[in-house]
Amino acid sequence: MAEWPASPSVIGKRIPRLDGLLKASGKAKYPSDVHPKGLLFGAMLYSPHAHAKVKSIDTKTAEKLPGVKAVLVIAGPGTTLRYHGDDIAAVAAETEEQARDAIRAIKIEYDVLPHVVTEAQSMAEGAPEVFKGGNVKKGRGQTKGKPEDAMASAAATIEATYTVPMITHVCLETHGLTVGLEGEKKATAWASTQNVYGIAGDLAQALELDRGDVTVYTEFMGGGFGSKFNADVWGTTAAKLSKMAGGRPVKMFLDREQEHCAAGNRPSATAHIKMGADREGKIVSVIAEGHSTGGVGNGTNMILPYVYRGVPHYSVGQANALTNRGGSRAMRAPNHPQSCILTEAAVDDLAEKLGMDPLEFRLKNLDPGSPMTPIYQAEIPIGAELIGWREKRKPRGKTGTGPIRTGLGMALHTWGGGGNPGKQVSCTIHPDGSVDIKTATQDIGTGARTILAMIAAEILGLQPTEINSLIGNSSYPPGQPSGGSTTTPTMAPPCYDAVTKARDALFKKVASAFNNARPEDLSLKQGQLWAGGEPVASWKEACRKLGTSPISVTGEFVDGLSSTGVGGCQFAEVSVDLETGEVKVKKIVAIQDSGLILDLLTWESQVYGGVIMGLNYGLFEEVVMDPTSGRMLNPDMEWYKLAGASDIPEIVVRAYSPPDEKGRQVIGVGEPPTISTAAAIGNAVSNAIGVRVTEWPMSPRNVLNALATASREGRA
Amino acid sequence: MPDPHELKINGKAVRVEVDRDRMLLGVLREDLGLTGTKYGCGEGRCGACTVLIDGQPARSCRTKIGAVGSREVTTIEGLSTGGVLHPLQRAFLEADALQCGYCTSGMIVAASALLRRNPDPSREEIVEFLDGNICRCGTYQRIIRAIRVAAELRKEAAR
Repeated sequence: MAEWPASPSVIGKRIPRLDGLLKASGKAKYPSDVHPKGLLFGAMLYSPHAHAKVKSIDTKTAEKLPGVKAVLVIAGPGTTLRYHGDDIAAVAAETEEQARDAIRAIKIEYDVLPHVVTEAQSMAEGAPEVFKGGNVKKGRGQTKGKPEDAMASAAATIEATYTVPMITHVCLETHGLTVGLEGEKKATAWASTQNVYGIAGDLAQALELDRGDVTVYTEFMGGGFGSKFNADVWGTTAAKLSKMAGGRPVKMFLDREQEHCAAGNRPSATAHIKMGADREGKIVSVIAEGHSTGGVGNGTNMILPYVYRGVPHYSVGQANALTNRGGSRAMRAPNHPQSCILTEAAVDDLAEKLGMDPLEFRLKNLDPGSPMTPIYQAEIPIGAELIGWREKRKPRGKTGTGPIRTGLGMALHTWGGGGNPGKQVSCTIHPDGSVDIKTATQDIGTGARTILAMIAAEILGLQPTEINSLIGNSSYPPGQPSGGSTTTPTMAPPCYDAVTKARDALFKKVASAFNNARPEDLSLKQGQLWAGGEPVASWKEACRKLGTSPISVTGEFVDGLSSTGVGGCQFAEVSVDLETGEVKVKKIVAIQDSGLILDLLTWESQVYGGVIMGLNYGLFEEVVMDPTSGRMLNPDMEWYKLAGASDIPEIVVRAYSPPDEKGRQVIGVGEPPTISTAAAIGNAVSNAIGVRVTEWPMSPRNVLNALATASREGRA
Repeated sequence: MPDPHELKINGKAVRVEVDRDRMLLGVLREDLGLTGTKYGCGEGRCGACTVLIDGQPARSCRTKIGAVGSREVTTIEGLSTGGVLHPLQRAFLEADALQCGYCTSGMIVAASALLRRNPDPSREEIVEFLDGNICRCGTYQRIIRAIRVAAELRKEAAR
């Protein structure tokens, strides 16, 4: 199947997304837009403290307020609250204002406990414990060869501590759902989720129903980025409130503050790294000791060294420092952006120490055992050409004499993104010629809905607009949760399987009606049925021969239509004001492979989006905690900084897509292009200003501190 | 206490009985079913709730209903007239200037105000005008492009 499609009519073209007009006209109904009859508004009460015990909670006044229909205590007396934003109670009322008034009327007495919200607080001797058993959890350590001996014999070494802070997903539509009950045995929900199939299970459990009794819709959703896989406390709470209110539907979406504090984060990462190379520029040893925090959840699982896995000797130790912050969740390429920053900063510094061009140094150190190596070798020269590496790049610190300096940097990344068996897609061909594709997956903005229609259209010789691509409904055949860049590679094979089988069944049923043709003589292209090289009927005429019986086939995963493993490289050009520390990104070049590209238009959108999310990580984003109060200081969109249009540089995106890449078939692209942007920006900043900025983001504060430290130490 | 307000929304006179301190966003979405306008941050910082009031972009999440008066409110639903798409809507689709689509209404509404004021904006003018609208999916490159395309489409249509 490696050559599918042999002569594509749709696949690989630029096809506008099928639901684009609904989105551009305001008609698309997001889960937070639905307004079923009898709707009540839910609101959450959450902890203002980083660490506290609920002494007492009194909901009597709240219950009596006008419009209040149900009040539910989540954290009763004696419950420990472990972070600013932790769930305490919830209310459902006739209006949003009434629900919020009722939340304010709930009286709570707290025993405020000492907290740890920074890594330093968490790891300090005698620190208050987030959970019983200590804050610091040793993570996966790895040793290969004899790193200490190899380091001692290295011709050049560097040693530094690099760090990147915790960030949050900031989905523009906050987490939540609307859920209602009809009678004892039926529930309907509209959830902003990446996992429409799984949410039905979560809600069924909360309501003590069977999975099939709950139908969840996710026609559209306003961003997830890895944080929206479960119904969560607020979702199951909404279901319980609905039950308490006689089944009336309850809309429960978080406010922006709780969204920041409680609905997930990408953990921080800090690593002290020693790296050594021989005279020829081969990295011989890496010794790294890292720690991170994911609040009450997992820290970063650092992959060190990242990409350059052929390093003969290394040892890596890492620890998760629990803190009184909301728990981490997967965020677009979990663990990779942090690992990329930590490794690529050290690699850049070591190239500098050796006096080598960091591009040549990277090429020299690619892992000879990795299937990604030939891909990097092909991509790097393309990216270098597009950014003007040869003409523009100057050695670190030799970038001029004025206050504004420009610099170039680069970084490499890798990701899996393969498909998994076990999910299904159904295809129904109706006698009127309409075609339904159904599966319980969802389109989180990637274009998944359009991709399924394109695959069906390719096989049936139709246009994607002629296919009903029906997703976002938990009662459809089990579909893939949108995570790990696996949606398209997981859903494409069963879609292919269902549609080809449905087509073959159609051929079998109608062949005799066309001059007694044999099924194997029939084919479909350009909206026509062909027999032996001649068009014999339009698609609709052919389908009409089905009479009253549609064809319906459920497809399973088939091998050979998807694979895993991509490599990419990114380059950044920046200018830095040495006096203000302000960094402006001027240009980003992103070269990305991802097997067979299905829709070039939405593929490019994914890469642009990944780059811009990486630019945010590189320049702006940071959860700021107050060590004294234990509260998040920027749980909003004013002080939690995100790029606006004026921060966007020229972005050049190139697909690395030679014929052998196409032969690798479908691989996801949602995550890879966001991994290396922040690392490339940091490296470009260091190139521009002559000193390493060891702390991300490249904010004025971090840049000026790096300059001041270097100056104090006589390095600049 | 609820009191009557005579609003003008998308060219129609609309009467609502609501508290004058309620935000326009909530009234549009919950009372009038105009859900194209979105809640993003609730503090006027993300632009998802952008509507036009007398042609000027306004943050409906921070605009009290009592302050709207009888001025003309235009939401995303009011941009396409008689089933004919606004050139911006066509351009956003064709340029794929949207991903999850949640910021899209605010972007298009804001951009429509720009095009009304300046039918042929430069890249810099577009960037300046839209700088307060956040897209978390990172579609800016294509949004800027789509607005340029829409400007061209309007010019063609005027010829």
